[in-house]
Amino acid sequence: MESNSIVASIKKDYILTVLETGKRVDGREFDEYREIEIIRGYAQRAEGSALVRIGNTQVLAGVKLSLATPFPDTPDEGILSTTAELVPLASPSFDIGPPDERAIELSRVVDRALRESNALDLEKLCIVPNEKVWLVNVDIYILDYDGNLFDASCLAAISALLDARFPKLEDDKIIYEEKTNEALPIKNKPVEVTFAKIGKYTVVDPNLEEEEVMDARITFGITQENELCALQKGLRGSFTREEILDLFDKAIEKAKELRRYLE
Amino acid sequence: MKVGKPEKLIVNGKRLDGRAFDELRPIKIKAGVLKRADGSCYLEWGKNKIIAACYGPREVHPRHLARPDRAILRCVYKMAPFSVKERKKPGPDRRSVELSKVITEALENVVFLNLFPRSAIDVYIEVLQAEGGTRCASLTAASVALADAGVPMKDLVAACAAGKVDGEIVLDLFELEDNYGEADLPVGIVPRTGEITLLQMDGNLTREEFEKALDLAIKGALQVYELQKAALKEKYGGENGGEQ
Amino acid sequence: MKKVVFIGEEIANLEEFLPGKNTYEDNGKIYASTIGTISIDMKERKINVIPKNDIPEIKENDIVIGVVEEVKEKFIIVNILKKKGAKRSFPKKITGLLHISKIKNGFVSDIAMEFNLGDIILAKVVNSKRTPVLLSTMEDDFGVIKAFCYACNTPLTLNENKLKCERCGRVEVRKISKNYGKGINW
Repeated sequence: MESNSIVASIKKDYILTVLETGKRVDGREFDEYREIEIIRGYAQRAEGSALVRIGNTQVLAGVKLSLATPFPDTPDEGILSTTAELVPLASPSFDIGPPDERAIELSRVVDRALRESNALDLEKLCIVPNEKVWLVNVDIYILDYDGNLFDASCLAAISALLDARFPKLEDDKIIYEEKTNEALPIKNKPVEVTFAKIGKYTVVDPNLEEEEVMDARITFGITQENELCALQKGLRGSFTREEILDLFDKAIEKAKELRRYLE
Repeated sequence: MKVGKPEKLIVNGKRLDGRAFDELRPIKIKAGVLKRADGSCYLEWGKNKIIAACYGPREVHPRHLARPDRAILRCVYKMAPFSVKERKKPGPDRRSVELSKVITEALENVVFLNLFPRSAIDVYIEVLQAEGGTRCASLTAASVALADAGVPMKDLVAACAAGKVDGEIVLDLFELEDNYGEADLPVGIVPRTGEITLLQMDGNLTREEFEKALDLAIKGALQVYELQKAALKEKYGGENGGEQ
Repeated sequence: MKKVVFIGEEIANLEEFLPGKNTYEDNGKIYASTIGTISIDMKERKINVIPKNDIPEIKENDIVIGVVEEVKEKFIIVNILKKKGAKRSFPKKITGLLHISKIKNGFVSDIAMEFNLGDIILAKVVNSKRTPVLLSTMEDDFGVIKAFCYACNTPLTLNENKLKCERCGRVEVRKISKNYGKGINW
């Protein structure tokens, strides 16, 4: 066992004794998020950006637009690409180097929520079918890791997309210095809600201490119509059928809370 | 003439962003902005936005890099994909590798590495928004992050560039001047002793111009030093102990 | 409140003091090398700076957790993971030695009846000058706080001073801390 995981296993005994009293180590209720703050327009060289804080977790998302050739199977659609970087300044456990499996899972789960909810109207991002479309890159940058990267990253990504404005297009060239007033064609505002299972207890928005000891994790991507658009269960532990259905109901309620921060 | 070059970089004795020749861009520094890192610094320098974090001294991974007589210092300079006009592909490029190296070496001079044999001190620098001069801004931020982490040092390193634009020697080049000026001379100094620990040049300068630019850069770095100290004083307090 | 000194700030000269912790000497003058407050050791005529952001060091009376790495006839070797009160990790790996005479009050005939490989223990540092540092688990607070079944590696639960494996029923004995199974919050 690596030293961090040994310390975590000892901490787990303590966290469980607190959960038994109906509270969490940081004093929250089981179904309570930490304080959330969203600052749009944080990185001004991006076409859109947002810094999201959930408690001490800080995630910055930036949207860059460029021109690209469409994929052959979707000749009249723009392209959305989502990546996430767990940059090493955010945690002693993040390394330099290419994205590891955690970063890839994170970006794919956020991408899934954006894509499957049709957050962006990709057809409206077509300039010339078969030839030229807008490429929308959403880059998610984890700056301070205190747990629950999925929810923070999804909030950052959708907030950055909402913040984005098209740059001026002149003779098929992008003038990045000149932003227009035109927003991206946003059709849906999905959010993600994550629960951690520790022993027999399930809590929303796990902080790092809780994540280090959790047995299982589940993330629901919820559209503005309260439908499911992404789902990801993680880690060795498991959920029962009943637990999952119950958590889905809770996720819908929490998604409503989160969506208020997008207005 | 290069594409995109403005006709003039200096108009009526003023630079394109309105500054005088010896004027710095506005600089804002804050120490201790990240929870996880042992020390950190957020820095705005003109439109540059940079975060630096320090971890350590801590165990070295991979272990074969450990030195029996001292700690190793590793600074990593990185740019966010959305920090520049055209999206930068994630992953290291030759420029970031070189910058990481010169920043590390500039700081190795002041950190008492001998106190921590077999350890590593890591400094991660993320450029979130770039507008020219990120090298000096990064070195400045890295040095505050190290100080915030309690790493013993003989002094902070403060940095500033000078250069030549439309024939004039000017302080602290911003992006357009950096791209289309005649020379850029970034300088990092140890203010207490006056030692120079970072020095690069890109362009053309005569002996006379070089001396003038060097002196101007040092003067700029000394102003930056005062801002670094003020940021740390804001966190740790002067006479009365500060917030801790 | 004490005055805070800064990195590179002149705090004394060599005629007054010798440079102590977190200070350095240059050209007859003594400077601070970290942000902190001054502390003067009159006995040794040393000037020290007490840092605001401390890099953890192992000291006498520190309470630490560690994992048992080796069990020998007369001692065990412990990999020290964390010390109570430290906000960050140690600069390098720290190893502790717990001698058979410092395990508990009373005679220990077989050290294997007290500790096993992989046990997580709480201990006090009694000598930090030596390498490995010397530990003690004499007090009731100290000893094993988590142990795993020798046969199936399941965490053992405490049952009337004995450790029992809920899975295979095996019973084991240890020098148990009175905090066994309660975990730590530091």
